[in-house]
Amino acid sequence: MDIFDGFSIALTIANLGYCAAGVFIGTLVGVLPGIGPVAAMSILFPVTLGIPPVSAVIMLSGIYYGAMYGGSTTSILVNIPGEASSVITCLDGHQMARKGRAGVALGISAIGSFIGGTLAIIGLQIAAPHLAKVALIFGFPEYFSLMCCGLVVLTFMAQGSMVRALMMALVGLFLGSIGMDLVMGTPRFTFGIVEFSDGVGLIPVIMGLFGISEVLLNIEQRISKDVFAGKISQIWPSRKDWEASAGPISRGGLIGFFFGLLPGAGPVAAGFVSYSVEKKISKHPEQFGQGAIEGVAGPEAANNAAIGGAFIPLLTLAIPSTPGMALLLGAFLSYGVNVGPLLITQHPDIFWGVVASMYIGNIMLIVLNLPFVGLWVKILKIPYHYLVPAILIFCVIGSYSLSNSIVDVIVMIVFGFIGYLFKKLKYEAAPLIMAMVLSPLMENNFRQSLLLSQGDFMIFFSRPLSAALMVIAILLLILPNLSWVRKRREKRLEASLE
Amino acid sequence: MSAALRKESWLSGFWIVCGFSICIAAYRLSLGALNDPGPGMFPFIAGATLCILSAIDWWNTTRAFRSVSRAMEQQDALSLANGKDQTVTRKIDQNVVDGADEGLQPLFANRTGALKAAAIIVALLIYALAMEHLGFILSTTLFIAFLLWLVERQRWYVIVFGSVLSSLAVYLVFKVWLETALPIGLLGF
Repeated sequence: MDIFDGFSIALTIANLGYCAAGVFIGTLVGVLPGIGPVAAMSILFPVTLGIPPVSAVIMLSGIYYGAMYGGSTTSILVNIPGEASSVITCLDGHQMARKGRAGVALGISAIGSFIGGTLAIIGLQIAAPHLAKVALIFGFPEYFSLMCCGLVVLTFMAQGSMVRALMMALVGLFLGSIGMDLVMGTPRFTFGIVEFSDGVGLIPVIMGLFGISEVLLNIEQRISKDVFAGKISQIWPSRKDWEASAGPISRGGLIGFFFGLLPGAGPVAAGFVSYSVEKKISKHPEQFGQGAIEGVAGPEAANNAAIGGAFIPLLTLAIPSTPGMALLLGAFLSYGVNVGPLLITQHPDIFWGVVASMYIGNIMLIVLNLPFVGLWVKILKIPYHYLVPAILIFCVIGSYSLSNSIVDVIVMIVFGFIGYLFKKLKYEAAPLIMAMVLSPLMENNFRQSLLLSQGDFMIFFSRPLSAALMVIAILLLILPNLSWVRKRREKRLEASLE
Repeated sequence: MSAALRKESWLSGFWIVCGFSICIAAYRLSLGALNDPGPGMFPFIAGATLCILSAIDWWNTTRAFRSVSRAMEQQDALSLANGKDQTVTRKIDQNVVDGADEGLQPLFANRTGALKAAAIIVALLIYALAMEHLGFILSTTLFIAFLLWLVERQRWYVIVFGSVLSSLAVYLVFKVWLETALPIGLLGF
């Protein structure tokens, strides 16, 4: 099977419909501040349980990459990121709008997103099958070490304290271990609640941590939207704009793709890195922050490319690098599809169908975001207090319909409150989610490795690949605590803030 | 400063208690042996590591707070020696510290907003528990009406018509069109 077979799957009427629905909802939640793609994916997940896995993944992925397009519209017109990864676009995008170049900013952001996204899909299409072949040599110890390394990289990339991010990952590992023990069938930490014997649902936890908590925070802080009132004209960039943007878009695409591969880095970090690279190599860095088109084109290409890149570790190694990918991993497991090196050989329809749908979805998105930009501007004007009941009701329906149980709704509400407190106390929810979804796989590989080695922990260090991954993890744990590294990092942070 | 340090210490204490509780519960499940790990071993390791990291986090935070307050004291002493107004220096320094560590800011700066958020959590819990008794339509109507009243006070007719029409619309879309399972309740809808 190859990409052409993938197109024959993605181009069926039903899959085109799911793709269109996904990218439309993605753009919608991207445009609306206060609800992100991860919350939207988790709300819609129960709807996907009745459809074929390939269609379900096409729709859920569409929401994820669609939100990257929509987020920039809000950043440019309102100066509030509609989606976390578009935060950097506010800097120059909104300044362009204030200078009467809102149309060009929206245009170059959509075009940059399209090119970055497409470059990353090409990368995914080429790299994933090769990486899957390499991953076939992984045994239990290698997998355990890879997951340890992934979690450590994720916490290393955390915006706040690395120790706290690690603590969150450990809480996630514990939450993931709730339920029936896979080997002995012993119920663990279920507190006598029957619904917990299959574990605490990942989707209600994600809805709570990313959906409900966001609503609570926005209500407390009151979102005030001052939508750009000027006329949006001339969306297509001029020749001069093209010349200025070509380099940033191609560099942003590459940066985004590689950042997507790293656990925890994701689209947000990709956008920031692309922006600072463009500012550094620019002949007129003083124009950054004043409406430089490079400051929009680069980061937008980067955050879209990061999504394509993030699919590689998910589809080939079952390692999610962002919360959205963790949700997709959970979704794959619910559909009974084992993600990992065997996915491409065992379910080629899913792999190639999804890759092909991403090309189609990107074309749909450029149509949705350029000629229909007026629609999104109108949607942006909906007051937030009307959106609150809608988001909360959708979350309640979504969590209830997972297993027709009120327990899932209560779990979602409790995690909504916990997520709200986490945001206030500067604890990151992403490591918790990723560790929670990896916990059963990690534990299984850990126990199998120890069985294999007769209880010798050196098994993780005596096999070359596993040892290399463990050494990387240990180095990343030690490095930030070395004083000279810390000082250099602080200096670099200060410089970037300036 | 001491209030912020106290808050951080309480937090670390909370995580240590969590980690310790996980360890005890995991130990009761049976840890097994190294060559045959039991159901409790993996969570036990997670709990124990959580305890250690919480202690490290507490140590890091305390050290950071102490070094900042020591630096402030030194600066105060220096300004006194130079005859400068120490309150000005302290104010500037405090701003720097505030900027560097948001832990010094009160957790719920906007009291009205925080109360609204708390009211929504309570309302959500009541809504979830009432749904199976009152049924989806009735409980959703009441919940939406409460939200329209709470978040940004609306006129009475917006609250009444908005809540009734939107709950009916949601019911039609999810129950009738998408055939999603929704709680029926004692009234049969």
